[in-house]
Amino acid sequence: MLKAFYGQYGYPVLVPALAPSAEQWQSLFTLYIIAAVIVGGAVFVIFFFFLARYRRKPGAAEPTDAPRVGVMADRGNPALAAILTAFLVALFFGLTLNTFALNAYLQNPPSDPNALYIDVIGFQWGWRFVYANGREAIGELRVPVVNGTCTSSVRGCWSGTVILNITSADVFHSFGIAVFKIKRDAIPGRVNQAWFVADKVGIPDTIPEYREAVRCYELCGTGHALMFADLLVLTGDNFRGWYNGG
Amino acid sequence: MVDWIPLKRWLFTTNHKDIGILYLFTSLYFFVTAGLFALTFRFQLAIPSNTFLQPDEYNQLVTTHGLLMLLWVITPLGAAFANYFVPIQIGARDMAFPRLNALSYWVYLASGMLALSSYFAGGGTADWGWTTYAPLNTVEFSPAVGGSMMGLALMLLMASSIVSTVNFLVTIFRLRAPGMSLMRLPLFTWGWIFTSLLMLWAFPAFVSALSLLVADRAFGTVFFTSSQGGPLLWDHMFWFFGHPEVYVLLLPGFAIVGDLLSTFSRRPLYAKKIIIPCLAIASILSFTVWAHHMFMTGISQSLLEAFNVTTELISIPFAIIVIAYIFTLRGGSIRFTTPMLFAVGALGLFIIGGVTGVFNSSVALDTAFRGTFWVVGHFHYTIVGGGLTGLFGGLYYWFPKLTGRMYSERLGKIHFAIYMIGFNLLYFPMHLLYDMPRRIFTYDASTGWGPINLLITIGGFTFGISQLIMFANLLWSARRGPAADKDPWGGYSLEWGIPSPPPEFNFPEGVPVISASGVTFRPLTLAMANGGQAMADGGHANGSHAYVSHEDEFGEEHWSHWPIAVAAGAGIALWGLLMGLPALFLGTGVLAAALVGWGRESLRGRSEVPVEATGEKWPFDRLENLSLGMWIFVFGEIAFFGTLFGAFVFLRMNSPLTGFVWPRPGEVHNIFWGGFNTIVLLTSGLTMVFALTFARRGSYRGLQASLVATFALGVFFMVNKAFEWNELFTNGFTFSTSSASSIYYVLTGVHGAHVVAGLTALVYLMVKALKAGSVKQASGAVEIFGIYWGMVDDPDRGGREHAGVARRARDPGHRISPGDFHFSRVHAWAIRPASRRGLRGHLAHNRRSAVHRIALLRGDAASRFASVGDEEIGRQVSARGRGRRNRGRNRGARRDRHHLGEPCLPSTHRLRRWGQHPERKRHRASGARVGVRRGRLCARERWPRNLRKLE
Repeated sequence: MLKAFYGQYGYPVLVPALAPSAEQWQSLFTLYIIAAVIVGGAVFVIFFFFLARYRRKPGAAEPTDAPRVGVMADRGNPALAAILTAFLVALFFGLTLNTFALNAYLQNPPSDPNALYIDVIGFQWGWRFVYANGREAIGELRVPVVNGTCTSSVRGCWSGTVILNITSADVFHSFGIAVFKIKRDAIPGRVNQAWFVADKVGIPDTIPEYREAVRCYELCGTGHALMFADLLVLTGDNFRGWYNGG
Repeated sequence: MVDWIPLKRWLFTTNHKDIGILYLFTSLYFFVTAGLFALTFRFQLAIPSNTFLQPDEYNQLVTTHGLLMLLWVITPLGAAFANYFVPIQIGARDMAFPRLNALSYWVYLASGMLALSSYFAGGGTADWGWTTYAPLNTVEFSPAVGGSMMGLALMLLMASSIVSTVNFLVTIFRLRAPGMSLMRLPLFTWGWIFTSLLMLWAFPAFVSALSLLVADRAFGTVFFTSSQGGPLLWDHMFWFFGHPEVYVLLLPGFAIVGDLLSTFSRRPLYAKKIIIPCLAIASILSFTVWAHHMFMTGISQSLLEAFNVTTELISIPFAIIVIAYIFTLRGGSIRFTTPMLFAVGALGLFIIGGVTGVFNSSVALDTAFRGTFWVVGHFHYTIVGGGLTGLFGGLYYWFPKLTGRMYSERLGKIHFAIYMIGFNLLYFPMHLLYDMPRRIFTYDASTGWGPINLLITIGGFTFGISQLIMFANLLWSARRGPAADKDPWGGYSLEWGIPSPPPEFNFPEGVPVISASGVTFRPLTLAMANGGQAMADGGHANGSHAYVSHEDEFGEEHWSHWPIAVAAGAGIALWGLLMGLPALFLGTGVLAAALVGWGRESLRGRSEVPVEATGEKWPFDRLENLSLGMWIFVFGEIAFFGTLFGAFVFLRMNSPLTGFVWPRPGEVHNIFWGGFNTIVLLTSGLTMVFALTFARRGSYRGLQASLVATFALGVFFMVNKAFEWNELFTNGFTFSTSSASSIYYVLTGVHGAHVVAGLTALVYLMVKALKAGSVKQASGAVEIFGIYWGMVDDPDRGGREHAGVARRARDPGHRISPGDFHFSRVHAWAIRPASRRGLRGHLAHNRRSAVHRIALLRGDAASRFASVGDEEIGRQVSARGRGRRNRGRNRGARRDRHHLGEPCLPSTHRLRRWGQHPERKRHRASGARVGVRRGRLCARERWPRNLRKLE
């Protein structure tokens, strides 16, 4: 239903969800949007209702309890505050459970013997990707698409799980793939992990969103705006060919 | 002939209202500057692949836009209103420390000039974004001198804010009018209390982060380049400051919104007694949410999830406040004036910003939002929407009070309409760009971000142009607008009961006395230094009860050269630190001369603005103003040293992870002398306690000896420390050896700077003790210094141990925490509240006020004691004193009488001789004569100018 609501591309039309992680992110975001619209909308309705209802009418007398110096502070209604607090706590509890679930998913790569490990090194200004066999690439991230037949009992294939070990060679960068909703800071002296599964084969020419899909999200100097890499999601055979030096 | 009087007034004023005006103009100037920066880079981003700006220009503009707007615009704009209206709203005649208030302003201006001049320092200014992430901020990646200069400017600004914070907290807690209980304070004053408390605790943390940064850049330490510290050290230190800073920006404007909604809906603020605790809770929680800026740094997930929860929690008090604001409207009679429109707008925008804030609290959603325009949209909705919009509402609201004239409502409403359209066009579409990185100077058309960015830029220019309408409206109206009633709004805070603009001492009808039935005025019980009883109306005598507004007033009490000189000296010295020795020497010289001048002025007792002292002081009614100020400052210092120790703990705990072997105790050098040095400094704490004891007992010699001993021990400590540093340097343990050496040198160096500052103050104290006729008179100053010294002589022990060089670090189980930062019991005993010294201690302390001097000359016993804080006690004591004198039991009094005829000056029982009389030395110093007055032999003051005129 949500897909129908958003269409093929999610909110706000600009950011398509091209991986399971992005889809999960979108559904969590939708949950937050629904809560925000309902709660925020209710507040605005009360707000504007009061503004309209209690606007000054011509000839109306001054309220008897108009504020003046020395009036003691109003106690209000503590019960109302307590109810509001309880309501918000309940709401946040629900939101947080969903957040933590997604966080656990995003943070913990599956223990997949057929995962592809890539070292990601940010530098001023670009991304270097170093694969397990020493194969290197700068400016493009090539990964194999998800492979349904490559289960953990099968050896020697890539399941499509890509695990990134992200670090930086100089300053603070932040590695992000917007279409996958993956992000992790690239910090010198630290290795951070992120993972994703790509389920749409394509190169920038066929899927425009893959162009410059990998970006830096922390100001890192004059070349910050140009610090990106293309994303190439290849079929298993194509990737194998490239990986083995083709 | 140039008329110098106005210029002199604006340069040397210490009047809180004048300073408020200065803050207002300066912050609006920076607002225009930083706003133009923003329009410049919005122009760059309007279309894809624009080449209007170079990347480094873009980065500098983005950085300075952020820094200026946050630190030099919004907070000082709040400070402008706070300076002008907080003293009035609490019913005081001025701030507690008017000269410090002027100092805050001038240091703020100097820091702003330093910040702007960093553009021209060669290589441009800071270009690392306002968050200044390490290690981009180090010399290796940003070698430009301008970056260092921006760092120094920020430190100077923080110093200004901390001084101002101390001043405001003392003012609000100690100078309230009779009956002005805390719960009766307008919400704006409450907002400013919490703003000040947040600044007091958050800004020192930033100073310590900047100290490390400047040390890295200037002295080659390795905090942000070593792997033990590195980027995460900066992240923690910066955001520990950074998140409370958000509320520093929000609260002044947001609190004004509450007052405006209440005033214009003609309803008391709903649930004020819940709003205020909510503000307190939010302020406390704001120190526990900083890591939500670090969700993607890969630190412990359970920790981040905890921060996720605290971030959600902090939205609850704000939700309650928002609901309370909205319920204030219920049953009202709402008048949609321009200030009210801005208040409504601010609340609406803040609700949107608050809702998107809940999104940002989610550690999982942040995988998309971090570093994108979504975040930019969010914080502009809260800070500009909730904070600045509220402040603009305040500007319209108080404009008639500031100028005595009314602005054009029509133009104000047009401004509001364009403002809201521009604002939402500018910031709302940013939420749609949640995949576009912040701070990129260009983007390709294929990204699809072009149309939205064009919309944002159009909104930006609309928003900018709308401000022109406001400036035109206000500037024109300030000169030509129709005269405004003193209370055009039916406002309920005290400023609306006094003329517009208010007279020099705010309350022409006397002291406001607040009760449930409203406000009444009673004549000022204290005569004022610039006039007699007739002058109690706070203005110049001008016929019967007419007064001249403060526009033409320039009382001598509100005049000091030294604040501007100190600020200029500090600014030039910091500029010279980077730009060349001549300027450094010049600045240091000016600074030193100005401090000496300031001290001399204090010794002469000038520039003390008398205040009605019988008002509300809860909960600090047992402390003197200065003591309270020093305590508050010390609590700020705890945040400063605490953050530095936090940095130490961070480095120490990271060292095993990074394979760095932290030096074992005694490994680098012999720790015996360090330990000995610690004992020396602790001993100086003991001699300081002796000094205070002697001062209380009235032993002049004992006081002098103890002060000299303290000074000598302090100097010995510093000399020993110099040898220690020298030895370490010779052994090759330098600033840049390792993170351990870096933190050692910074901790001990910063502490050494505190000792040097303390020794300087000690010199002043010794002079004061020398000059004061009475030892007891000095005891207040001794006490205040004792509080400071008690702080300085203790943390050093922590400092050296934390650096792993001293004794206690041998204990592997020992973890340093801010809790180590304690005052020894002996100090706590020594600096017990002044009121326990009894009434006479009080008298000795208060005797110097100009008011009191006049009162003494008038021989008016009741008013003489009024400054103590309780007229009733004053009457009793003076009656008792007369009785004793009549019985001839008091030899001191008899001797006074013998020398002086009628005792024009108070005789204190324990002062046996005139030689010890509190007034004598000061009389000599001030050139006063002993002369005949009204036929009696009497110590005669030099008459204040205006009174002499009256005679």
